[in-house]
Amino acid sequence: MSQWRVSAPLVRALLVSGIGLGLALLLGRPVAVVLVAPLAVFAAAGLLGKPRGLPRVLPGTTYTQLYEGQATSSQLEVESSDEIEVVSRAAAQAEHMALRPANGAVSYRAGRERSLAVSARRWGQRRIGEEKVALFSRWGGYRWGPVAYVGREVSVLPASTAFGAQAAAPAPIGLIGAHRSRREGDGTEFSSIRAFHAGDRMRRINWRVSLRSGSLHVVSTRSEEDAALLLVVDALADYGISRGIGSDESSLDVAMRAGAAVAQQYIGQGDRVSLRVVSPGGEYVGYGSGTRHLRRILGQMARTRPGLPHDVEVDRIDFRTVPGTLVVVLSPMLSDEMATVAVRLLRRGLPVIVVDTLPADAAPSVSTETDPQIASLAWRMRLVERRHVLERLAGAGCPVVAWHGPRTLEEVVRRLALRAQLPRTGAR
Amino acid sequence: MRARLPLGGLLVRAVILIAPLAAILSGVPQGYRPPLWLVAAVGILGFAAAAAPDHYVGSAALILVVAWWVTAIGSALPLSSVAAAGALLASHVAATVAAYGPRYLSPDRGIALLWVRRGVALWAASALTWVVVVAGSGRATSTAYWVAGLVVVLALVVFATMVFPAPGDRRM
Repeated sequence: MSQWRVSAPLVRALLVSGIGLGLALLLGRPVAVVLVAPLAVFAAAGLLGKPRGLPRVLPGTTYTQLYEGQATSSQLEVESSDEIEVVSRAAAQAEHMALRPANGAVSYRAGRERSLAVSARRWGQRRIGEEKVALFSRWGGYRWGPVAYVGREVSVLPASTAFGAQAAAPAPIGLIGAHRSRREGDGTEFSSIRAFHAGDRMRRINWRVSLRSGSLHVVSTRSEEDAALLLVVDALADYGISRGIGSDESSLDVAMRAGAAVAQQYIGQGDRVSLRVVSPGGEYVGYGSGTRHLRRILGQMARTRPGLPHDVEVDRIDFRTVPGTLVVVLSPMLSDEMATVAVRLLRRGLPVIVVDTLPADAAPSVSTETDPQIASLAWRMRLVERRHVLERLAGAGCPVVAWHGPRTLEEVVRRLALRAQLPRTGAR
Repeated sequence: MRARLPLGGLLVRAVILIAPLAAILSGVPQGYRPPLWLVAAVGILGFAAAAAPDHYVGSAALILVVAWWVTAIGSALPLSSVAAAGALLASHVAATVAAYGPRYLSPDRGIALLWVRRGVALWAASALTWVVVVAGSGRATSTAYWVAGLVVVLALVVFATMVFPAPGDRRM
């Protein structure tokens, strides 16, 4: 625990005024009294301002969960502040956390608090930099600290942009929802006018057609159902450099932001969304809908750390799909395992879309011992293999699209929905 | 990342550096010219104080200036000594503000204004002392007067030590 200590300004004032007054008295020189009189008063005021008790300092933040780009204020509550005149704070820089003021240092008079703003620049579990706090008594005579406080952890959710999609789901399967079903039921979308059957509702009778044809006819509609969406995020590795939101993006940045946008879109229209991250942690969220479920998905995304799964091989992961699920694989497709995963899901008869998350300027990070020419050649070869994999996936009926913002999937989903409505032919 | 010195911090440090030089040179218009080596020494010590405002080295420049005024002026009391006192005080106050935080801290406007007000009030003590001493200069001052003053100051120091003991004294 830190104690109140005499500050350098008080020592200086005591020293200079003491020597000055001593010279004045010993040599009888009034000029010395004139010169040091202000410092003598300063020293006296500083001594009288000595605090009696130790302060209690409670650091905190306004929010512990943020979206990328959002800011929270790092606050400091100081008890027994009537004996304290100045509060001085200096926060260390932390990775992907921006400070305001940019150097992280503020000082202010006690009672007129100035907070330190901390802005999260990248998704993930982030920790605010260590903060050093010093307190000063009245007239700067005594100093407490500086005492270091460990920064609080903040959960930073991937940023997502809300938008309204117009495309219908390829294979809606639920009981209720917003998507037009292939089955007839109690919806609003017109399907046909057909002869009356036992059980049809009276209000469905089309009297004009019934009178013309001489028998009762009813208007039939398509039922409306919800869709299920599975987001598969490839976090086996992170390619490219991440400089935070609004700047250079890595492959995992693209995947998380795209995943967040798609999840928000589908949950917003009442669909059920599930998440599976292929990573050491194996983050998983089951099917569900609603704002709390979206928060759960974004929270799991924020916990993701890239790497190979520890407990299971990638091509043996159980994705817990249900019939009719639309699968969106967010991956840079630089590993054969993820291509296998996409094909495996496709063979189950599920509509699968691969979102290519590899940034255009991504380059491998190689050690200084590696010859840059060899590294560049190896990378180019890897990109050629990747292009081949993507072409084979597209040929197998799995659309591959690069992420260009929230409306990227709309056209692809519309085409998949049209394809799902076509009659199927089978060869014997 | 190495933080840069903000403009406010630069201004405060400029005052710490320049004010002791102004204090030693403020007697020049009235014919009190300090030797060049002494001005250089004050400048070097002032620079050290500006670089480390929370260090005791800052006292050296101020002590050197006071010592020169005491030896060079003798028992005279020119008006420029009030200006010199103001400059010494400005350096001390600027160092106090700079010592509130790390090098890259930009001084708070409220704190700066508080210390400007205090500085002006403290400078008034110097001006008042000058007026009192000049007003009483016609009268003869006996040696006993100065000895009595020394006794009073010593008594005040003893009293301050009793009221504000050092942390080590409490354990005894």
